[in-house]
Amino acid sequence: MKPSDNSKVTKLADFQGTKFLLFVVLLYLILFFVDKNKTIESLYRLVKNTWSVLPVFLLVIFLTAVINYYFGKEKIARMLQTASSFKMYLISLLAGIISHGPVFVWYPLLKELQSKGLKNKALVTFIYARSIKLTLLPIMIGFFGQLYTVVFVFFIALAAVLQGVVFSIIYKPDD
Amino acid sequence: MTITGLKVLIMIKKTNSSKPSFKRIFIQAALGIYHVFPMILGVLGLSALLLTFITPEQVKTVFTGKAWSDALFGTISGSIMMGNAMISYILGGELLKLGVSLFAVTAFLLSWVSLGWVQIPLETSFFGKKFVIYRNILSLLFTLLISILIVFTYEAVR
Repeated sequence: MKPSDNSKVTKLADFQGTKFLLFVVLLYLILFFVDKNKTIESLYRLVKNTWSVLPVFLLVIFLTAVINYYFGKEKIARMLQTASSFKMYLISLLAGIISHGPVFVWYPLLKELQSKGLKNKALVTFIYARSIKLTLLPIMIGFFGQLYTVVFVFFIALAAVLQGVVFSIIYKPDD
Repeated sequence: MTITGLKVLIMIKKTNSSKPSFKRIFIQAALGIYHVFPMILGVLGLSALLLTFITPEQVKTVFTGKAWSDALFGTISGSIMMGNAMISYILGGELLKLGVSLFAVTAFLLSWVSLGWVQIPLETSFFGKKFVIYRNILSLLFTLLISILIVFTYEAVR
């Protein structure tokens, strides 16, 4: 096997949560001997729930791809470095919403932007706005309904901006 | 054409070709889900067990239905866990079925994505202790407050 093929295999087999899944399988096995009927009922429920979630994954994958294609990391970074206060909050909010991946992946870039003049209030708004997972909204709607999701997203957006405002009032850097 | 013009053309071509194709990005996104699938399956499996073995009456002994105490308990539970937000939606949905109040579930969902005690050391190494303390305390307070506001607004407009 070529080295590149080897790395592909490693990447494909790079699963997260396998130990956790094994733990759950073990739990099923133990509980089967404790209460056979309830464990079988759980298995039915598992199959039903997994089946209902599967089609949503396709939509999530598509949305993630669209966002990643049009808004790369560098593009979002450029958007964040804007001047006027209102526009800065708006852009931090939007950038936070469309940014993807775990938050710690963004730390180096945010630190760099901070050293180039990105205001702390924009940083705080950006980090909290990341609580809105745009690509996962179809899943959230599936579990909690459209109305709840709209209210949820609205309040997070509001809280993200307010947090930036409050932070700028109470936080004084040491220098 | 001048040499400089040619250089610019080559640079533009290089910039354009460096952008990965949509197909490639789509495959990367699909792989993202594929890699966390054991975790998703594990969570679905565990929630199926919880729903079958734990009765709503048992759950109601912990979550009393009072806004502030449920929101606080939900916030603490969500903030000590971490991972894909999708997992919090699955767990939150199942908790609702078990009879846990919407205050607790909303706080749980919010704190899962907005607070992460596990990430604090890393965040501190980048932005400093003071910034991180201020930001996380603010996030905690906002999470508590807006989880209650979300539920009241939702109940009012429903």
